[in-house]
Amino acid sequence: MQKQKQKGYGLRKRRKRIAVSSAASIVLVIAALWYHWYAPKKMEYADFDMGSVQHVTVWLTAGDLRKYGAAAILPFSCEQEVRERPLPEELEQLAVDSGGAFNPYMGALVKLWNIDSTDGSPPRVPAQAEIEAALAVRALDPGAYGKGMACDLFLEKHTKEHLEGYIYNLGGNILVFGKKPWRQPFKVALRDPKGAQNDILGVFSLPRTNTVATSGSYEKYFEQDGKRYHHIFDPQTGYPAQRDPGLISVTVLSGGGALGDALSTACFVLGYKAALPLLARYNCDALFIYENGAVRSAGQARRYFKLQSPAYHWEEIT
Amino acid sequence: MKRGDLLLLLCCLALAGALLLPNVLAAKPTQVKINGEAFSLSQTQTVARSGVVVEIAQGRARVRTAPCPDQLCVHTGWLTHSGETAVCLPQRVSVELVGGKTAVDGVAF
Repeated sequence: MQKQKQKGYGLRKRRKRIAVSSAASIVLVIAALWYHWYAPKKMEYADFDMGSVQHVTVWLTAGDLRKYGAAAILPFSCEQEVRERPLPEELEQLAVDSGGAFNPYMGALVKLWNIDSTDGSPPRVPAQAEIEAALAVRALDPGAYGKGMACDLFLEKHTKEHLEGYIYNLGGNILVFGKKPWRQPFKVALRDPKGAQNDILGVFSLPRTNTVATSGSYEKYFEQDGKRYHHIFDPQTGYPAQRDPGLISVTVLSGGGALGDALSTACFVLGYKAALPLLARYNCDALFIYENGAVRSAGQARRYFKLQSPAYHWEEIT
Repeated sequence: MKRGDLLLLLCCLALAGALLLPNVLAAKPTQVKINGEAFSLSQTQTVARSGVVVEIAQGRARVRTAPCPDQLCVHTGWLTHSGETAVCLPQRVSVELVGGKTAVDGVAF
């Protein structure tokens, strides 16, 4: 009697074990199958726009993939629209707030220096009288905010599609939108301003919609008589900006594309200390990178950024 | 647990593993995209687009020669990791390694 009871108990226990293990196995297989067929897929697309490389990455759920397919990243070009749109009001305000450090009306000066030469004619250092004459001319030039504006236009165009998450990268100006699968942050690397094309200074981890814009003296420049002239001009002097000695690049994190792009230019012209109140006013974060490898953070930028290159170090300013 | 249960569990584990493995193991880039057109990295070949000559060999790729004045794309050298790019703006040619794991989603500059 006693023995039988024990046997019955053992049988039940074993059956329970079998049930649990097979249930676990089935759940595992279903999870694997789900991951295989229904997990969010990544789609990429590359093209040229506004004289730069355009790179679009979209994460699609299975449902969205059926709904939009390849159309989710249809060719997008905004060169014309950026040129035709008037200056956004917030940038007009930024020109005032930055004390003129951001000036979108320096088209004549940009043409005079000819650093962004399109016809093959070489850039040159203009005479003082020429610079003064060019500074007096009011000609809109989207150079300092155009790529950022392209981010805004891309966002505008894709709001109706309810895409889960995407990255729009136009010539290094980046818009990250929405969220990645598994709540992973967007990983955006920052190119080493002193290194080769694929060298990386560090990586941003961006949890939500954000734009990343960089203004640097390293990308477009020319040399004359042993002196280097870069393409970001100080509206006060008409010469390449050099108020903050050794500053080679400013990267701004912002909620708006055109604003971030213009802010990065303003910050580069102003230099670290003078830019701090401006960044605080616009609630934006920024990284300032110097020739000697120092990296200064403004706002919360340091929290989102991980330095990777051994050639750089954080520098605290008190 | 009887041997049968164990076998069933192992089979299921193997099946789940086989389904997941390609996603986990694909660390190396598998393809190179030249202006959006994909080429296998396992095949040694040269591809020319708008005068830009791309060399593909041993799982990597580079721009060997380009007719542009700045030669930026040539100086970029061999691309070995997924997500790395070599771009010739004057000739409008972009070369990018794809497939496999990418450490980052985009590069700002």
